[in-house]
Amino acid sequence: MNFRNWINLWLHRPLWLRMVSIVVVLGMIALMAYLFAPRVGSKIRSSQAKDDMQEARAALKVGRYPEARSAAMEVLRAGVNDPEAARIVMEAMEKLSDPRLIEVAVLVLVSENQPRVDRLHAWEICCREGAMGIVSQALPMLSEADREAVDFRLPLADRLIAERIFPDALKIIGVSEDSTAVLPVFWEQRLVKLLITMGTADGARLAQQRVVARLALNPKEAELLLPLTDEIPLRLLITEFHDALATAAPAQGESLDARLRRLRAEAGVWMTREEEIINELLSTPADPVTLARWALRCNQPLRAAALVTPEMAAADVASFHVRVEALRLAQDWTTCRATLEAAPDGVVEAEVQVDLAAVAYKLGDRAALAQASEEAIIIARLASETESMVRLAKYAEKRGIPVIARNAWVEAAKRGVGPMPLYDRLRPMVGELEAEQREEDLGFIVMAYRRLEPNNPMVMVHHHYIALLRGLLTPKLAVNNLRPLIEKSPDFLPARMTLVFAGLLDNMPSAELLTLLEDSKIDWANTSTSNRVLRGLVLASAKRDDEANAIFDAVRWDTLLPSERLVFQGLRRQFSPETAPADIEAYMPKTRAPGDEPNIDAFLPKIRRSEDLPNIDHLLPKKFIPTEDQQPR
Amino acid sequence: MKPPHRINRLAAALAILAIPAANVVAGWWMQPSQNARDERPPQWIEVRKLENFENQPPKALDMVLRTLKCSYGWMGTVSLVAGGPQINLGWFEWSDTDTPSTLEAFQHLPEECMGSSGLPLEEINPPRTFQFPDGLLVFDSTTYRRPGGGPAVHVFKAVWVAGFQGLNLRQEGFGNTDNPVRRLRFNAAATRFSPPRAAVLMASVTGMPTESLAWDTFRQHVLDPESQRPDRTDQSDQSDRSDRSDQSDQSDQSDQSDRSDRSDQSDQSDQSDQSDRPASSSASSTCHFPLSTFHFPLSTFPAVSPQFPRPSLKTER
Repeated sequence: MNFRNWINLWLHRPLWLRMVSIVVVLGMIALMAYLFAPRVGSKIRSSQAKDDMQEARAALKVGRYPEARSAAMEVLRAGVNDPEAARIVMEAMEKLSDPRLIEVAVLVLVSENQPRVDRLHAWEICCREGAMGIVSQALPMLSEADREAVDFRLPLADRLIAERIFPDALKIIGVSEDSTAVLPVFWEQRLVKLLITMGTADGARLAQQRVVARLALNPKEAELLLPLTDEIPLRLLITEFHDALATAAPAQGESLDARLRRLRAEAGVWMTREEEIINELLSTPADPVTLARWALRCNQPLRAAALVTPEMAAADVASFHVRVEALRLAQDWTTCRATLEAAPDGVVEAEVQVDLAAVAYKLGDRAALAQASEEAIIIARLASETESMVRLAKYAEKRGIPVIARNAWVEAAKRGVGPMPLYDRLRPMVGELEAEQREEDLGFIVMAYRRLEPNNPMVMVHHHYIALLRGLLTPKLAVNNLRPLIEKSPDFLPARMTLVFAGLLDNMPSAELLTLLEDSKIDWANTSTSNRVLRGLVLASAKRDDEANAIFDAVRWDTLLPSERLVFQGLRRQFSPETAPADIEAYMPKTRAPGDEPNIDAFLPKIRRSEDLPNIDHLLPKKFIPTEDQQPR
Repeated sequence: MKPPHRINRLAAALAILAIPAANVVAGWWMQPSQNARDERPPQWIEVRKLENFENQPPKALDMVLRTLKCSYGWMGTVSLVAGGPQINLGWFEWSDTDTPSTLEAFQHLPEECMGSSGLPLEEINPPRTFQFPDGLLVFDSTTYRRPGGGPAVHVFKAVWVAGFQGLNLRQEGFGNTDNPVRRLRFNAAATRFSPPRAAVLMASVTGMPTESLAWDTFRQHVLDPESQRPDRTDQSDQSDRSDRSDQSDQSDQSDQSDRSDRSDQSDQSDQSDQSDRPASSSASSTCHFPLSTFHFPLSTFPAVSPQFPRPSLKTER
């Protein structure tokens, strides 16, 4: 029977029969698709995922990280929950400095089916490269066992020490006042580092005493602690540390580092023979860069500079750093600038610009200072590493160029990635930005931190204030968010005044606004201009114009942010249209005359940050009771 | 009894006369009055008097003017705070063009075009009024915000049509978008709406916390910038400006004085304004600039587009 016959057979059936047959066939196809399509699709997807996984593994093995990342991400996108794919994505992103690394690391960290080794790696990435806000949010997501595990606590302790959050670091290290057990050496290392990083005489003394105790207990383990003591200033070295080093020194075969360390300790404690001992130290046959480094540790920058020639500094990164540090400490700014301008390949260019800016400041070269400050930011912006801006900001703070530090922190906030510190750490810088009326930059900072530290009430209040000023938040939402905060902490003045501001914008009844002010117990004479103007606006809204105008006439409007002036003037016109001047220009800062540039001292650090220093007395090893002669001489 | 052929003759004569009569009536109906024809859009805003004003680059402006088929226009930005609040302004005229081009001014409401450029409507506010010496403008007021957060964008839009005063985009008859083209044509025929000239003034104030503050800023910096300048020397000018300022203060006193009654009063003032105005035909507003075209780098392009040259911004009367 050929095809024509089949057609004839079909056409000669009744219409209803043909329709029913078509419906039955289509129904069967639909049923089959319903029953088997998901399984078939899943098979196809898993087959593709298998291929992608093989490709990702192979690419990772040979270092083709972009291919590894995209192949492994394909697997995850297909909905296959493969722990290995997540690990490959994380590792490839780590190698590529991908800005999404922290997000992936947090996902790996909280994933229950991920192997422990991957979660540990993710946690190390978080602690190393994540913002402190993300670390503090991720910590409660760890399981109880992970939080207690030593290998999970170690990276956190390192980060806390680097961020100078000492009380929490001590808790993580696990030192308590009543503990008498000997710490494992890796914790002892962190503890000694913490004590030295504190930068106080007490911290340095305790660090040395702990090293001495460890030397007596286990000299081999103490070898790991001794390099840390090299950063203790010469004048803070104590006799018992020197004595312990001298006792531990073998009669023969003393290593170079051990000899130099012992001589330095001797010079530190034996002040009358200091020069003679330092001469002996520097006459030790050794690599000039090593000797120069020890000369710096012995407060001999001129001799260190003499040891490292300009040619050496122009050819080698380590020599360059030592020579620059020596010249900086020797205050030989002209030579330092020449050395910096001939920096070898491999140095961090942005940091060289910071050093150049510091030198320009010392030489009073305003143009060079401005140019180096700008260059530093541009170079760091072009760098591919996510932490380049944070690193630049910290370096600029260390070198005392806060103008670069502020700009770098703002840029870091704009990027939103990198090891950003806690908001509290940047509070002084935020105050400086406000004083400089850089409200756009303030906006970048508070927006970034609203994401990084969503539970920090101070961040919330600062964010709400700026967001209200700039129309980023509806007043109603701000009122709803701030009310519970005020009920919880009635004395939290910034929150209360931000609520007043939101209430003014949200047409809150004047009586309620007045109650908010009266309950605040603010010393109005000593509060900020913004707070006083807000009070004036509340009084104006309550039709107490005389009192309000007295406040408005007394405040310095030019100290407010530009948006504050704009908004507060608008509110004033709304509440008292008869008395409010229409002339907003009167409140704007005067245009700066040409040549009337800011004093170069504006580049000097204004606010010195003070950390929360913990009580460290209990860290003294039990068998050492300090006596008079054990104190620094 | 009159012969029937005489009636037929009268009917025929009437029928013949009816054709030119209908032509005359239709001509009278369709053509606007001479006064309206001669009326030119007043130049309320003089950009050279605006502080921190930057023109839109000519290329972008040309594109917009061509799209809207208007005969003249300018766009620009008044920066209030560096990196902060700003006012984006647009002025568009349809003079001596054909009626469909003129009707571009009423093509759609602001939320339609702002929505299509990615800014969803957050709120429709009561309209704002501003009394210029040349006439009253009613500004339609709407607020937008980008999804997922961003600064509030307050849009104020006023339409001027020759022969009409204080047109309100959202009043009865305007803004019905069920079938906009049919509605517009019907209203055009019913109300003898054949304006030879129309103009739109549109402003979007970005980054102000509330609509009332945005309006206040717009009024202070654009509609009545003279009121801000303390160093005025020309006395005659001063009196003129103070009059203007008084008028403007009066016009939106209801908006400013009491916040709680603001919307009610605005509605009332709007209704009272409209009651003694000629009936306006159906119209809605025009999308003049997608927000993305606002963020051009600062430049010093000339105020007048080279494509539509015009000797001065002040209209010669």
